[in-house]
Amino acid sequence: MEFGTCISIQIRAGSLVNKCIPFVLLMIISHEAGAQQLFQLAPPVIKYHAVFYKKQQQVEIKFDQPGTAVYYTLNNREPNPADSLYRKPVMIKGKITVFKARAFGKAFLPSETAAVTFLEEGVPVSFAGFSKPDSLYPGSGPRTLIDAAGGNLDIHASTWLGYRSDTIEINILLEKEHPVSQITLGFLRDDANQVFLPEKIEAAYFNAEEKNYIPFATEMIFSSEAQEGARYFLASIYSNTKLPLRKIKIIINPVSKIPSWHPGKGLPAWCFLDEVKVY
Amino acid sequence: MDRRKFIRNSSFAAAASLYTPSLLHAKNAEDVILGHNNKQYRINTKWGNLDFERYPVKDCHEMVQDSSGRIILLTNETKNNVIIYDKKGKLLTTWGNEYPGAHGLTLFNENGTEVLFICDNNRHQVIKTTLDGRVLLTLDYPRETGQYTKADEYIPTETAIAANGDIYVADGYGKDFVIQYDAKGKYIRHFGGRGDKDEHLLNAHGVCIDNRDKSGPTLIVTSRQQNAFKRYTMEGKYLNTICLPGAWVCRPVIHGDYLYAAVLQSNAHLWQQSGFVTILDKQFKIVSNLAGSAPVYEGGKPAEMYQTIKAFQYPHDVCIDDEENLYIAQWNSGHVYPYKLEPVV
Repeated sequence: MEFGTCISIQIRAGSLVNKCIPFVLLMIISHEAGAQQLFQLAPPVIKYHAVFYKKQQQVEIKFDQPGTAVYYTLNNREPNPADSLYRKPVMIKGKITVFKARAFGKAFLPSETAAVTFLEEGVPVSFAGFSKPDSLYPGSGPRTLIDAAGGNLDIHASTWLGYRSDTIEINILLEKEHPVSQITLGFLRDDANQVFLPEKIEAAYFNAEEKNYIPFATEMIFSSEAQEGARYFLASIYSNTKLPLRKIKIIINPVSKIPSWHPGKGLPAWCFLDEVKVY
Repeated sequence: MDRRKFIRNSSFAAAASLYTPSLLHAKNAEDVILGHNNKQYRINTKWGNLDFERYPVKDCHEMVQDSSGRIILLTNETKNNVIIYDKKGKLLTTWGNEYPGAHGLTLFNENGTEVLFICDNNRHQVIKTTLDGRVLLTLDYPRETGQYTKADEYIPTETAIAANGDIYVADGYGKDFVIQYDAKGKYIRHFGGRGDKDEHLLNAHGVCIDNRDKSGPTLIVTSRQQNAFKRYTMEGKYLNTICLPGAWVCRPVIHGDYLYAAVLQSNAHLWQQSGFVTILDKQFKIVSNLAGSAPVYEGGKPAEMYQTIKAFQYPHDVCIDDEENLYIAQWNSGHVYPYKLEPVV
């Protein structure tokens, strides 16, 4: 595919054509070889306990295919053979790491990039209550949102709270008062199973002096195009400054009906979440 | 030359040198050898190609070989539900316009005459035909089981025929029962179905008779969403489970000492065209994964399997011919015709 593009640029270069003819010939020859359709490698399988961790997290790659090597990055860049070669499990540290891996082999086209975002656990949370989920997806007890078990793309995993309702309310109590500027929630996006990201997330914190809730931040989420496969989505809302607080109320507005571009348009949509973090 | 043209020309040179060397040295995709141990194959993706205007396919669901050596393909394309090739991929004949949900295809030698059993998901029936499509018997939904109130609930995916002619039907997209009939279509019993016990099934996609053991035949039934095969006696008593972690196996096909199965997709990459083909030996040990991870056992248990090469999208069935070649039919893979794989010695 890159070849087609290169050749057309060549033609548009007009007055340079004479100087570039040897390049054109070389490219055409290689285009023919490319046209024999090399198989692409499948993306490497990334294995981990959870996407959230306290101090560090071990990440393992599985890709047992002779004649190939897996390269990875920790800086959100697309991996290539100049990056780290995967030899053994990698330790992830730090606040947020986007782990990307790609398989390469001489007899194959490189795989698509496999990516997982890992997040350090935030400020210690004593309690994260949530409104009653649908009985089909009840989660795994009162600590569902703060048990660091998250990012499982299977909708039947017990880590998920599944909702088909107007609003979802979450009430958070930190272990003690702490300056906070970010709240992050983990959602599932799985179009095929009619699970969509919410439209709006609104948070407010309890001001002890005024004895009422003061707005923390609001975020709108737009999901406008179809997406293949299930994805884990971390939605974060930020306040302008770090605010000292202990109690937070979060109101999530799921998409009320499946979007018009989806085959199930008009039907009730699901909203799935599994973790909440405070930073 | 001005600066802009110079930069464009230089970056071109850089691009050319980046792209050309690796591709000039690259192999043809079809030089790649798939599989492991003594079950390795070269793939020919063009083997089954036909004039799509005249002989279209939709999902290629299953394939069998008859005693004349012909390769018979079943597709849910009602222009020609059955397409018959020779082993070289030459089209011999087609028939069938009445099978919109054509899914399962089994060949049986009935006292010297070969017959076919077709499972139709849309018609909710099993239809027995001659090799050229004359209907011999039609089985409706199994009211006798007491488990179905209407035909729609029964979506048979596969049949297996015992030596005495008994017909076993797997209701793989309905209620996951296996229903046993005698050769004339009289109901005998049913077993399996959904639940949380070992003998229960989830997506009982395939069934076959295993005649390899001298002590007698057994049944092997797919439980695809559990990534497993389950073994039963011919009377439907549960024996044991063969775990195939990570593999959404379709039907088991036994040829010689080996069990072959198309794996629709890898659990690690659901709904991302992540299929491959798995081969097990007589002890149900995985010996080869074509376009999949190397078979590894840890503490006697198989490690999770996954696709490594995107040679297949959603393989649905594997047929093994009399020369040990494999033919792969694919579901939902852009209407591709079957591929042929030849063993590498």
